[in-house]
Amino acid sequence: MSAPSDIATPDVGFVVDSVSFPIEEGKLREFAIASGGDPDAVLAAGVLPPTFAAVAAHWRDQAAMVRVLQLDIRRVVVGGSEWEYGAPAWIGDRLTGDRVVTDVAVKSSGMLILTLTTTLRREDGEVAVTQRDTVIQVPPKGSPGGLALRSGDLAQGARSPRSVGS
Amino acid sequence: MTLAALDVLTPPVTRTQIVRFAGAAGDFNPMHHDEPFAVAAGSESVFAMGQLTAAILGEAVAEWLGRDRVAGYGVRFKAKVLPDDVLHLTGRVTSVEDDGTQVCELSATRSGSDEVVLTGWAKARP
Repeated sequence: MSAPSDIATPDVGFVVDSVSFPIEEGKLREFAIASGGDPDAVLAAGVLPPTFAAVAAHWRDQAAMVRVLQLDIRRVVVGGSEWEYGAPAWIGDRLTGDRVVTDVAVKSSGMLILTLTTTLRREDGEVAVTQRDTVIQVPPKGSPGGLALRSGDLAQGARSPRSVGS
Repeated sequence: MTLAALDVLTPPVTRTQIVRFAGAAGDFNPMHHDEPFAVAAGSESVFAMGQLTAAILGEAVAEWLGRDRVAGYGVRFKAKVLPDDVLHLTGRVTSVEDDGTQVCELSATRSGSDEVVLTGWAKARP
């Protein structure tokens, strides 16, 4: 592999962090409205909105994630996310899971691409949601085909307010 | 059963919606809500989190396919979404798996320019 050797790469299987959060009616309503949906329809349906697991960010320390993965926060973007839905989960359930490194790729350009998978289980152990996030660290000064930092996405909160705002 | 394609225009994304989503999802990166900060950092304005665009499309997909049928959903972030952008959300079934699961291709484009801001997929249970 011709990849630069000075890039810190975590091992597949490395546990980044753990999260546990309750599914709350108020949070569901807020999330539905923010997503342009009809909150009454969402609450009546009894099915979580497809990307509801994003609320886990309230219970995570994204700055710590960047630190333990030895990423350079100024160059981190989120390339994409995907979700698989298993057992139903609803208000009153608590979802708990680890965020694990499940794929690591280093391009010859120096771009690092990590797949982080969070498997969220109900309290009875059934998997309710599996979320996979593609976290990209672009090479310094950008690269062909690489996302420019500020046009990229930081939706996972990969750059915390504390690290950039104060 | 043939499913009609998803083809909708969203209301314009607003700063208020972005702030709502910051609170809903817990993403307080100031690039998304602090205009002076975002401008000083080189952006023309605050912009939507990718997860907001993903949630807007996800909500439309849930309505389209039926909330209890969505088995999987995924997105790739392609471009920034700015306040006042109207998104054109599209989806169509591209294949059906052996067990009847419908596989859909999705996209969100900036209405007017047709620039793709998000591509995605969804799977719907039979």
